[in-house]
Amino acid sequence: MATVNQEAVVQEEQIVAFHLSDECYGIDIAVIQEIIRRQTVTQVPRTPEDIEGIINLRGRIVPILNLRSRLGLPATDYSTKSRVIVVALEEYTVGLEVDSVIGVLRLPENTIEKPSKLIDSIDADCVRGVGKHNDQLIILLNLHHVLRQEDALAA
Amino acid sequence: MSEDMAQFLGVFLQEASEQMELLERDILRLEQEASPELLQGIFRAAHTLKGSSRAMGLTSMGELTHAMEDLFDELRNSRLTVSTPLIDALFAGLDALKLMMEQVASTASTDLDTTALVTRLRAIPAGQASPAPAASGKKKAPPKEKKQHSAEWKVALSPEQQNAMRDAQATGCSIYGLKISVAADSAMKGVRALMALQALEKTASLLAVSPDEDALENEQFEHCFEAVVATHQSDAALKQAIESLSELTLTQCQPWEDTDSADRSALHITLSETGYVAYREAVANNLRVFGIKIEVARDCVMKSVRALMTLQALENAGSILAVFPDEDALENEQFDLQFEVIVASQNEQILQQTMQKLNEIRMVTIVPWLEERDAQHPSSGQMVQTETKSAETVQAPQTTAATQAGAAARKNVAQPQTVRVDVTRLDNLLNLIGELVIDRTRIAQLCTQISLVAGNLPAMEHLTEAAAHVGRISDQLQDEIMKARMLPIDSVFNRFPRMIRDLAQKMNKEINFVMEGGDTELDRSVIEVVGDPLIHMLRNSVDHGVEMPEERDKAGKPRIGSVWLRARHQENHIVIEVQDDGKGIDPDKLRENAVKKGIMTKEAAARLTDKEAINLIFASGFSTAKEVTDVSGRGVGMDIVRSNLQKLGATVEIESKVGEGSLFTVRLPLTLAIIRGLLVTVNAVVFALPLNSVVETLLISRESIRKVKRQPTIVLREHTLPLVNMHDLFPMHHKAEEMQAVVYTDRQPQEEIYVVVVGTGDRQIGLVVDALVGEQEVVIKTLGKFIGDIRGLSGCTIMGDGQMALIADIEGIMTMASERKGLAYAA
Repeated sequence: MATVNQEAVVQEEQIVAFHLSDECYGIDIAVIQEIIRRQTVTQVPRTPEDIEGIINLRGRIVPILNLRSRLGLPATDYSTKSRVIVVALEEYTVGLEVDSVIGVLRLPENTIEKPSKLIDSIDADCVRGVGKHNDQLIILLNLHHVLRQEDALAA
Repeated sequence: MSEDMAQFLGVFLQEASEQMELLERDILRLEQEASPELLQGIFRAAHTLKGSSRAMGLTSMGELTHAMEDLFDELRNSRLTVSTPLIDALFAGLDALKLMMEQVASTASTDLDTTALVTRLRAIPAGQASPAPAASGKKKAPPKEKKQHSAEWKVALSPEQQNAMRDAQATGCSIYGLKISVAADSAMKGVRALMALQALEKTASLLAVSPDEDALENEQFEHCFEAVVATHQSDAALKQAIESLSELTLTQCQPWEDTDSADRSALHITLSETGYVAYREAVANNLRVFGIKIEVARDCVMKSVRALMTLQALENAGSILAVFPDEDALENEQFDLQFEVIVASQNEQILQQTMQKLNEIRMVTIVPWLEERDAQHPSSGQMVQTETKSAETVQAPQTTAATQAGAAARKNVAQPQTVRVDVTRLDNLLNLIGELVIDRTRIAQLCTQISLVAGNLPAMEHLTEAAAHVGRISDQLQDEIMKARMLPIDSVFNRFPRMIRDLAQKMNKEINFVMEGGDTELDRSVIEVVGDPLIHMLRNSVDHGVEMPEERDKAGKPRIGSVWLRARHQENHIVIEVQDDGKGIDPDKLRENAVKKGIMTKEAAARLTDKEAINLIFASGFSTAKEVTDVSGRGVGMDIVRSNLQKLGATVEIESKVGEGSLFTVRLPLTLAIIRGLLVTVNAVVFALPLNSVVETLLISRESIRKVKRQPTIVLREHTLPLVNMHDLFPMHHKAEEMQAVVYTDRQPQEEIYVVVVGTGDRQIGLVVDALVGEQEVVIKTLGKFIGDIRGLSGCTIMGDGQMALIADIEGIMTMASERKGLAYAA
């Protein structure tokens, strides 16, 4: 997996963890450009449902993906804790909407397990593993798959 | 090819293409007036071209230009008079030269056989009016198949096939390389293959097949064969044409790029820093520097020794600046027969003689070496110097001197201080300016807002002042950058006189072609795309507009028809006009045709005004010529021309009077990167409608909406105007239920609605929007790859307040609207 940060010495993965519908998710820190507050999103018609629209990120046009809807999770209202995680993956720069950001975590690689039946809330292909942090399960997303699905839908 | 060689070639190619442009233009003028000054100019251009091509070691090119130059000399001395066969032969020569230039540009060498052409040129003074042989030199040239760009393609285009390809491209054809495979178990694969070719011929014209048709017929091929075709159709259509036949599959279909890479006389060698210092010294000492590729005989027992011996010998004849691979590698035999050196020496002969004395060694190429770091020094000096050396056997000394002086003088005049800048850098600059323009508007708005609160503060005054200044500067900056990207439209126009002449000759028409305003400047982005539509319009004028001379005689018009091409600035636009004094467009004929083709009913056609009827030529599937000629080509009608122009944000209008001629007016935006837009809101989202497609804005009452065949319509100045609700075209994810107000129900509270009339000429629709916001210059940005292309939108932009607007693609919207409702425009 390209996104796995395989540091030979520490054998740890750095991830950014965030909440979505009371569950805890994580993305490899390497692909994250920045985390911003939710701002006014301009809707773009004729796009798949889970594309919220576009935002102006200091002169750059960044599309916003409703991660909750993409992963098939129930909708919740936005709160003051809502954030947008801007990721750059391959040729895309995409903003992912999340409920709140927990922070940067270091997960020892040996604690990361293959996705199991434990997670039935989202499509198993979107998950590359499950980590544990203070007894909290963290679902590590396979962003390549989460974003690539888009191509199939949009085509 | 090494970078340095490319640089050197570049200088040659640029100079040569300048000379050729000059030649093309002046040979055309020659037909009208053979003044001594003109002839002198032509002669000089041909002479320079000859010299520089010889200097580059392109002997066949030199031969050809020499033959042409001799003719000009004869003309200059009045020993020969201008005649059509003469001009034709000269043009044939020029065409061959162009072809060679293209080859040289891609492969640094040319294999075109020009002997026949040279003979033809040489024969002219003898027979003066000797009938031009039907086949020009390049056609007689043995079909040397050129090696193809990628090894995977076996099929290759011969020079004449390349010509055919370029002709096809000029009519808007795309070129595809196809790989077709016949099912392995096919009983008669030869027949299948021929069937495939036949099927292809229906949708495309075949440029080349490999193996050739005979071989195919005799089944001398594996299960796969290749073809290159020119077509107006899409690749999907080709695929369908092939695969509708059984046992055939189109395994590969890709745009054909004819960049062949025949064995390049490429040198890989480069100069090191110290080598460069030595190079500069050598040049300063009037030595000449050569890049040499040397090959050791294959059966040579001790390659390394031979190589070192060669180096030693060269060291005696001059001084070696660089060796590739380096001497250690040579000594250890770490090279594959060939190695390269850069040598500074008195002249080429010495080096050649030195090499000839050595056994088992062959000099593959020797080229004058010009170091790219030397670019700021006048490169022509080296070139001319080379020329005098190599041309001395042929040329009387004083002529050479004259050329040298001429070339030097031209350098001084034609090269004021200019810097070559990479186009992408200019594009980046424009993007940055775009950002600046956005922020400037934003700062101005913030200033107004702040001054409401803190208007009295002295700092506020300074802020407003500074903001205004920044505004002015960014405006100027934008102007300057736009200007830097401007090119005179001449670069497009230049190829037209020749094209018109050839067309007129082919059709036996007599045409006087007048171009005006060639110095009008246009943005690079527009220049690149405007050529093709203009070609079609001009062809149309020559083909359908101007009558045969006899017809003109009968109509009491001058025998010689006129076609005008004009360009000029008008406000924020460039206007290009194509006018002819031909037979004009007969609206009745068009009405009749429209009915016949089932485009509209007889009644509808009768209702059209003359102007609307004339606009029918833009309707798709409409061609007024009685038969398809090879001039206007088939398929690519005025409808394509218009839709292509509209994609650029341009509009086309026609005026025409039967018997007097037609006038096509194209209005182009100055640039494609920044447009003026009318901002409107739909469902709380701001849309920018490109202003050049906006006809007017209306505030209409709900009651005035009528339904015609369930299509909401209003009557505007006695014409019906179909209405399309932007809410329907662009459904949003959110607030859709409350916001998606349908015009013709009573759900929306207000009684009046805003309508923006968009489109051109006869095709207009009214877009229903929630509100009008204003007018603004917007910088077009893409929506990005993640979202991709969305129908009806051409991008988005950031407005002064930092909010975003979606830029509507009017052409797309029109298509969407007509698909939705089956709208009949302008009924």
